[in-house]
Amino acid sequence: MRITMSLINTYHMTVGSREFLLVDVSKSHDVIGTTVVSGASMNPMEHSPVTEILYCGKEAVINMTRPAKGNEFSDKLVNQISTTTAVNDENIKTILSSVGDSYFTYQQSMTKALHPFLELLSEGIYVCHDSKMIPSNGGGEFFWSAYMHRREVPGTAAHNRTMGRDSNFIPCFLIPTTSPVEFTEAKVRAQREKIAAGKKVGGLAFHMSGMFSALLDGHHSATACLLSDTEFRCIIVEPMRDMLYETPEQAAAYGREPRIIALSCPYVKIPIGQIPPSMLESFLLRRSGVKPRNFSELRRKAFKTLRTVTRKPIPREILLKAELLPDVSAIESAHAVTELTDEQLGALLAGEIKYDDKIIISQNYYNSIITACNYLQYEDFDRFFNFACAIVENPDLTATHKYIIERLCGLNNKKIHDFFVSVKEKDDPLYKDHIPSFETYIRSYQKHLSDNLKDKNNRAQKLNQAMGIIGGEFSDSSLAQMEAIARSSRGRG
Amino acid sequence: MAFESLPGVKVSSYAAEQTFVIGDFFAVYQKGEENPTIYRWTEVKSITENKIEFIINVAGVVYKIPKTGLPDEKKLLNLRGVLEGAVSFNPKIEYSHQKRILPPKYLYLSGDAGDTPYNVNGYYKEREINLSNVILLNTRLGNIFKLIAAVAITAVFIILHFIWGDTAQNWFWFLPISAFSGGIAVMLVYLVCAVIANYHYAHLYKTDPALSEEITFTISTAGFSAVESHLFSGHEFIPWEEANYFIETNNVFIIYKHNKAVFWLPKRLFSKEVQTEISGFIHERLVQK
Repeated sequence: MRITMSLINTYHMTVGSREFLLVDVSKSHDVIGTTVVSGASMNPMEHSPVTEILYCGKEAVINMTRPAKGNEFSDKLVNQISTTTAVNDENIKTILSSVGDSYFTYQQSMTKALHPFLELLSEGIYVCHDSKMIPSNGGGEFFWSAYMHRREVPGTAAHNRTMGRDSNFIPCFLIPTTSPVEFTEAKVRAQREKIAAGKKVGGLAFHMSGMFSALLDGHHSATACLLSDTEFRCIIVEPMRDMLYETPEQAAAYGREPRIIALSCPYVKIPIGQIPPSMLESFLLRRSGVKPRNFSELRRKAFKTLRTVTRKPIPREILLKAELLPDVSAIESAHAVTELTDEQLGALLAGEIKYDDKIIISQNYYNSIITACNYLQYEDFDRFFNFACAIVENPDLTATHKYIIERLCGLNNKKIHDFFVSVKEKDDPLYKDHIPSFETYIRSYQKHLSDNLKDKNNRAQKLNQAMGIIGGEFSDSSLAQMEAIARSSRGRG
Repeated sequence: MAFESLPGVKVSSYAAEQTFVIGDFFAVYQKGEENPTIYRWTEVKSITENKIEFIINVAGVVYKIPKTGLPDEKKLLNLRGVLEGAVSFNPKIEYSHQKRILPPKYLYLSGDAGDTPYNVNGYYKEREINLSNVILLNTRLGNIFKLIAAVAITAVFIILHFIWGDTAQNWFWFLPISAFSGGIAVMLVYLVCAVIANYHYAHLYKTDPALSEEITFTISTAGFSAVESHLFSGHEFIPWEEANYFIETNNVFIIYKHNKAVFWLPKRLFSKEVQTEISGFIHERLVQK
């Protein structure tokens, strides 16, 4: 690492209800950041693909490509190229792995915990906050193994059509920065023990594009949280890359083109007047096209694919859990709908699109149902389940049955299993076309249960052997705790 | 946007009534106000560079940025690079500037410069530029000189006829005298043009600070560039498709776009063998005139 006197200014700020740390990084080591490696600035009238990478030292870690003819609302092609563990600098690895622990486990202040990491960032203004993350690729796949091959990922567009440019949201979906080969069950177990013991675990993420952030630390913690049904929190570091402009109407009132009124990142839009003047000036002086020191090498590596010697399968339980997580459209709907009361849901169930003479969601009934489902699933699973069941049980809404049943089939839940069993048993001709779906779901859920039971029995058996207990019965959490005790006693022995 | 990695520049107007921050945006701080008005480059209508200032016309307001407000010539060239980089990405901006030897930066594109087999640092020399200009003048005005010679010869022949009469007997005197006079006339016109061209480029040499800077010259598969070394990033180039033809003189290679010389590459920076290679390399991409 080159020795540079770093200059970091931090401000605790609140805009609306959003609290965050605003950071101005000048004269940094410039080890971590994003850079455009191709297609950036050729003829502006020409639509060439734009490839941006996340780099860490001399490693190009993630490739994000906006396809040709794309615009700011187009989703990007994403794939992992390398890993942060391939970086040939132990200092960087140590710093990356210590931020999450310092903040979440040892309860240091965000400024103190982040400081060594901020010194690694490229120059710029960053918003840092602690938020809940979703360890999936936004489409029901577990994040750690979802980016091995390049493909278009919904929700990666710089700006979201549904939510618009000016809405605040958390870039909560994850892109890994280590290889799935590095997944270790023992490490996940250790993190689960921490959780079971009431300790906080978390990670560190760097915003990439749209709703997606690169997870720099906390892969095993994210997996453990998923398995323990605990929320996974991260410090998210979001570069202030964008501007918010006046609306055309506002600008027209002054007879001018829309002016910049705020600096913007997904989490917050900070009005120009609220930004410390020195920080605003350094923002205006800084250029977007500054390339990292190792640019030529990074550009050479930018189009490689992640090489894995062996491909360890991620346990099925994790994959199934990831399927239950909210997806991109659920988050979009959650932002598109501000509130959905029980009365409004009742009106939707009655086939209405209006309640109290106001359109509830959309003039299109089918669209309203989809959006309501997304919103409810993200905000409150029980309300979603009740709403979905009410639709399926309503013979007047048969047009929506197929969609709702397919949607329920995508989730792995006992309530849904029981509901499908009961509907199937009714033998109602209304559900004749859906019986195969119910049967498939019931079969797969029961297999999932038996797999879980087998796994639990194996673990209990091993524990019994290790501790000399015969015929012990454990709950999931007590099993994890007992396993920790067994391991620590083995360590002492 | 080309030259988007050059640092932004902060500069004050005359009497410090305004402070400008020029980078990815054009920001204007009015005296006594904390928050700037931030313009996007798409809002800028025109930019003019003259001897003493840059004049930016944006959203119906004219801002004057004095060159004296910049600490040194390097900063001035930096600002010129930022402005011309903005023009390269916003071709609707009307841009006018003084005559230059170095290619204006709005001609550049930013991207992968491809293989760069020829890359060298050096300075322009006033003498070789002037010499080349005179040679170019010769080439460009060759037909006009021939016409002048023909007119002068005919005129002298007719004058001699009227003065001496009896042309049938004296034509063998008249012809060499007329031819000699034609030659003298062409020589005089040529000398006047050469003095004007010499003065013009000598003046340019004094007024353009870029010519006293070290220049990085690059010829690559993607294009060519001649950029002040302190502004050179290796990612900007003028694509070959933008050029029309090239001329090779004893001292320089000159590449033309729309009949204007945009790129001067001094031959002395390369060995004889490399000069031949470069000539071939350019020849593969452009027509030689």
